[in-house]
Amino acid sequence: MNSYIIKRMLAAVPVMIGISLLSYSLLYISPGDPAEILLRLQLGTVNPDAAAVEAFRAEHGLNDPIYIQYGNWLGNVLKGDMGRSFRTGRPVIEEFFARFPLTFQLVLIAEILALLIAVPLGIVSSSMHNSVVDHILRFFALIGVSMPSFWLGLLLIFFISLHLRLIPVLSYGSSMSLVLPITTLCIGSAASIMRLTRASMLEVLRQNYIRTARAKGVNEVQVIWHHAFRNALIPVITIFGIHLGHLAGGTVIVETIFSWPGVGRFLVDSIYARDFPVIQGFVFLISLIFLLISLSIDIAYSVFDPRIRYDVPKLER
Amino acid sequence: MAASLLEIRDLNVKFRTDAGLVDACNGIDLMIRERESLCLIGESGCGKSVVALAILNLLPENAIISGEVIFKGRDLLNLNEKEMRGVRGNEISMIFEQPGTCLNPVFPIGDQIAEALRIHEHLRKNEAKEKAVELMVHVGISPQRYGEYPHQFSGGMQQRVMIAMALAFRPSIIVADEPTTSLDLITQAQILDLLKKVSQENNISLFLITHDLGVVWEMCDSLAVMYAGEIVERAPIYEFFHSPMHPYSKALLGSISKSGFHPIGGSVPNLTDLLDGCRFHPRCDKCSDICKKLRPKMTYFSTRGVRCHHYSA
Amino acid sequence: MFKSARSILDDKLALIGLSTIIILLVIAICAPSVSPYDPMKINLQERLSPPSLEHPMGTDDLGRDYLSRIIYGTRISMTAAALITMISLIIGLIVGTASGYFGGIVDETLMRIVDIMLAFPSLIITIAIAGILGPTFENLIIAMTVTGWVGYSRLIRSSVLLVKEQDFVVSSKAIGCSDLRVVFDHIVPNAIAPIVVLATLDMGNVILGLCGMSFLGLGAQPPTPEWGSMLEAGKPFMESMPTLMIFPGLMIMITVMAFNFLGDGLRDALDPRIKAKVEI
Repeated sequence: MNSYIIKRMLAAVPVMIGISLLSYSLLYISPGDPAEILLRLQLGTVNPDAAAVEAFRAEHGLNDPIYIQYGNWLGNVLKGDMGRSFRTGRPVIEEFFARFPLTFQLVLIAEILALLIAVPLGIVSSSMHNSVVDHILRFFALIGVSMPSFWLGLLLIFFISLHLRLIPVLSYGSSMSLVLPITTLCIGSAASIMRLTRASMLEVLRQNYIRTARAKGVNEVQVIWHHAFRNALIPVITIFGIHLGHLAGGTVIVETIFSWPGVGRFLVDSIYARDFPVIQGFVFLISLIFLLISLSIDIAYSVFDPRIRYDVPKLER
Repeated sequence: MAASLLEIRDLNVKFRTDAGLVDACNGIDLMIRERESLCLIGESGCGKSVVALAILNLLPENAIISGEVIFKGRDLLNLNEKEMRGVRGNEISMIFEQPGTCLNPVFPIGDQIAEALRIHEHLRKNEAKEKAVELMVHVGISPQRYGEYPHQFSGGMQQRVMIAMALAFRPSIIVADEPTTSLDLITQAQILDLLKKVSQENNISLFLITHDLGVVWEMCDSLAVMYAGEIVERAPIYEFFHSPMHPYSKALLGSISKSGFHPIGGSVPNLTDLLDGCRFHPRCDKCSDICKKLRPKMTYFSTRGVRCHHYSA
Repeated sequence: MFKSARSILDDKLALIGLSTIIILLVIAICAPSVSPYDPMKINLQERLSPPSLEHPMGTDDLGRDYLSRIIYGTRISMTAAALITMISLIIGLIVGTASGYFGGIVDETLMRIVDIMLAFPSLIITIAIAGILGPTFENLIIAMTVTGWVGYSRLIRSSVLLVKEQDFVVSSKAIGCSDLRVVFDHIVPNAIAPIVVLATLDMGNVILGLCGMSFLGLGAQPPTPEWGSMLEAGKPFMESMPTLMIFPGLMIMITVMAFNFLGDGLRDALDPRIKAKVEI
């Protein structure tokens, strides 16, 4: 453990508090009196009478000042209690971790595939800058980042499942069911990772130390894969981290199209149902995971970039 | 007199840019003998560095190069990429300005020195490391710093690393492009001493590129003055300081003379849109009609040459 | 600036992007006169008819002319995306300039807020806000603005910090120009290039987001002719009438691509580092 890592972790604490604050306050941006909404949802009645609303408030501490309510909520969260879903009656935490592995598996496979495809292509593209190959790869990458994932998913269903009948449309449970959602996620990610790798490589290849390497007589393959690659990888890791960070949330659309019972889809369904404990809990947990991943990426950085490892005050670039 | 080691004949470099062709250097003729040190001096933007990069074929893709660079009887401009790599680092080494940006930030400096050894002498990892340590000691870096990264070194120390790297396999010539420009005065002197020492001890020719006349006097046997992409004067060092010929050289020396600082009026011409006639004429106090119309040729005397209409052989 | 305008015209992809955007803008502005039919007019006799001369893109499940709906969709997407980008930009400009220029505690506070905003996956927060406020197009625009400004404020802050150090800003402060004057005379024009690039690339992303949310049912609601919700509405007819799903998707992709082409071109033209390389 060095001072850089400790510093990064300490800096994450206020951010975590901010996240919890925002997640909790989602209840209050909802139009109308929260007590009334909650009661209506719980009881299923159209118009709860005033006495019932008042009793509900007293019972759930909704008459307390907001910061006390928040404090109580946070206290419970720290104890691992995020309340129960209005819809299913099960604890929010349980609901989350029942679904998280499904989403996680989808994103992890898709992202790793994307990285394996996109980084070499980006490097090839940059090392053949302005050649026909470069132009073709660039063009496809641009299509990839411009293609709406929901449309891509539907097109895949249309061509692969309906037209070619290779994979049944709704096949959750079989391993084949992973193919289409992963392809959808992977294409978008791969395109953006490739664009970034290419841009980053072009930037690095312009640096003086690349000229030094060439002046030393290092061959072009080594210049690209040894000298440039590690420098160029640094921004790529960031993007990879952000993509991974979306592993709990960014898949909502894909999960909806392919009826994948993951975290994102449950969240959207809960939003429709105004299931506030689930909304608050899921948003908090998803953001927390996102934060933890970006934290680990920052730490992974220091492996690739010694300037950060030694924590120099001013980064010369 | 020793034999010629590197000879540049009629080197022209142009760059294709959005603003049209840039005429970066024009009809350059230079010669460096074995164990000699030659200095190329000129203002910023006159094309000095382009000459240095052209020697090792390290110019960017938009450069158009013509002429000859004869090194040990071979024309370097005709070598293929693989042959060129054999020359780079192995026979001709290069040192650049801003050493901080010339070292790869993600590798330890020792490895970067050792890499040069592994490429050309096919040494194994341990042998390369041993030899790299020797080189570090040679240029005055403590061997304990083998595993440290470039950002942990000061500018002067970084330049020592570059010198160690350049020495890695006893090149015949070191091309040093403004090696001390970004350093403070004391460090400058140390680095120049070191360069001079290592080139003399190892019988290496030095091709030094600078804009600093003080450096020239300390370091070199002869010099060439470059102005707006052309060599305007060539002379042995003593003769140059004793009796400069070209009006530009005189102005340069005048700008640092004891009688006070005399800046040269006007500014360096734009290389995209060069004037007819002598390129220096708008700033020259001896400018005559012919200077505005006709581009002067190099006129040679016994030990020196000058490109000016006011001298005839 | 003229020079970069010229190099944009030299860049073919950027030119394609720019012309596509201009065409889309013309379509959006003149939607009532270019669309052959009323996009809302239900005609049950003609439901789900394939593309023909009369209906170049066919009709949807309620017999509405699909081409007219696509044309009106252009208007909706472009307006909403421009609105979101503008508001985000203005907020970002205020926050970023204040943060970069005044520094100290102002900077510290604002950047902590930005950090927290960035720590949220933006899609999730947009979904949550749009969903809780109630699924309408206006609420979606609010939700997307809430997350949209963050990127701009960061960029503007760093541009301001860069410009602030430059001599002419220091000297204009030295001759007694007021803070606000310095900011608007020097800093803003100097920071504008990267902002234009980001805003152009962002337009594409905002359109993707808008359509995605509407596709999920969290934005424009039927019968509004919005591309995302049209795609959603066309989904059940994937087998019988795939054009209902193909056309809106294609339009989204073309629009987003156009902005990406232009944004890439602008970045290459305005990035001084890339320029420097060419000019040596």
